[in-house]
Amino acid sequence: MNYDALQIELAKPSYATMTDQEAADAINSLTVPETVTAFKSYRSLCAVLTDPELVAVQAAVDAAAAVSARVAVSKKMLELPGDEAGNGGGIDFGSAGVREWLDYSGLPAELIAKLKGLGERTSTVWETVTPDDVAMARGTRPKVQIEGVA
Amino acid sequence: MVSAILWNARPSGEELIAAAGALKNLANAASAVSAECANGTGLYPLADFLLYLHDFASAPTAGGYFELHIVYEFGAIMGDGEDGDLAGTPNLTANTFAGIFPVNAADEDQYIQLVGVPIGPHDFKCVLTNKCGQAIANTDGSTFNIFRYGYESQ
Repeated sequence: MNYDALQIELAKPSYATMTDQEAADAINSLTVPETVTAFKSYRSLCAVLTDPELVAVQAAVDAAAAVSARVAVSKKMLELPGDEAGNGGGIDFGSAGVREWLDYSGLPAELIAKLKGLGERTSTVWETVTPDDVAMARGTRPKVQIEGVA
Repeated sequence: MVSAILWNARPSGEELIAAAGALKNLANAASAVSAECANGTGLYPLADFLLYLHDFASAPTAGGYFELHIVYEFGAIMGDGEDGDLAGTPNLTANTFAGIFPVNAADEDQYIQLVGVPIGPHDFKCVLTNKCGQAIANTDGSTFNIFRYGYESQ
């Protein structure tokens, strides 16, 4: 545990009135999105998009495929169902290229976020923090106790 | 003439942390520094350790343990990886690590042994780091003892 970093986090006003347990729970609930490799095909998209959303995505892909060889190939892969690692087909929604294309696709922001979410997962910001960790970072409990020293 | 190498004697325990001492109310992830063991004069080559944990705040996490680190005194300087006095937060590493005391995941009295640990010809202090997921209860009782011994040619 990096107690210096924990001390800085606990100095934020939102933790001031929390008990050690409440502060530990709050810190353990903090998450950040993380980009991961996640190959998805239209089959996967059908599971998460509405009909109008899927039609919009298909239209955007078709239009881009007409002017970009890369998108044209990607479109074919998108039509092939595969696994999360890309075996069989699909495109990687965690890859920088796909995510950049989405940014310039002209699709609604909400739909772009939904599609990007296919290539993201949330991870906790901190390793698990206990109430004791909070107490030690706050200085209300010693990190080291020495025999013979009260 | 053939001689046998035997243990020198059945060792007596020496208390390095007393029942009302540094283990009391020790937080998870915190460390307890023992009293000094005068092996610079005793010169024993081996030691067994007995950790007695009399109570926890609640049951420890499964797979929990206490780390034993031995920090030697060279002259008047402790090799603590920090400022040499073992008074602040020591920098405990594999360099000081001597073994572990596995903890039963139950809130009950536990005597845990660690045997056959080589020790050097210096005075030293032991540091126990709580890695069992729970604090020791804020009551007297937990202790830490060392039993030093060596071989003897007979």
